[in-house]
Amino acid sequence: MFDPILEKLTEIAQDAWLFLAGLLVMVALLGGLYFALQGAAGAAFGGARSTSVAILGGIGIVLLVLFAFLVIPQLGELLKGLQPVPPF
Amino acid sequence: MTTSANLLVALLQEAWTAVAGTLVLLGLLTVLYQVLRGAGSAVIGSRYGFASAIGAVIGTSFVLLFAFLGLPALADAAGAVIGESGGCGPLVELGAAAAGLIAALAAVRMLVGAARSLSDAVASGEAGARALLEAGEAVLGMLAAVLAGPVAGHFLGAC
Repeated sequence: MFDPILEKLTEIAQDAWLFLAGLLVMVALLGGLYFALQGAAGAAFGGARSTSVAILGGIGIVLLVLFAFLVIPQLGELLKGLQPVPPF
Repeated sequence: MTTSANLLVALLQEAWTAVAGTLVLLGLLTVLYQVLRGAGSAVIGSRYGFASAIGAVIGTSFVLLFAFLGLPALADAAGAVIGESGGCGPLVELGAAAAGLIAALAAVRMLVGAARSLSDAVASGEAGARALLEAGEAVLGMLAAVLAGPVAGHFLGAC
């Protein structure tokens, strides 16, 4: 009885996933560019802290993106496997 | 009476399956949204925003695991307790049907509470409290409703 509703919700969720993934890619690219600029400026003016913060920030962004695109789908598979049958 | 109760229980079983599927969708979208929020906070240098996003991811994971592992066990245990209490006298059949329905309603209500808790995680980052509170309320309400029949039966002298 609720299958058509779940199918509609799944379609909406797929669109939402694509939208959020696209936003994440944009934010990551812009963030990476910003950290590259910060690192270059730090290297140019001899600011070691600025450069190291920029490098760490860039690595952090990469890790976040990898988490989003590798771990979350695996989490989804895990949850689909754990989906409980009605206990009544 | 038994046929109508079975129909309602079947409907609630389908509702349980639908809500469980929706929980998976909501949970994954919530985690992705919080990762996006964390990435944005990291770029602009907001430590609070980043920490809040990580906390929300952990809270969301906790709610999902609680909903998929803890709630079925809780519903099973509560259903077993109800099965033992039952009704008395002329109310036995009615009591048994009502007890089954109440257990099913409480189980679906706990799962819906977990889904609402996920929406809290999107809005404010506080994900765990509502799920636990609603589960507790559902179990207490269920036990109170099931005990009402036998207590009334004893009071009226039917048992």
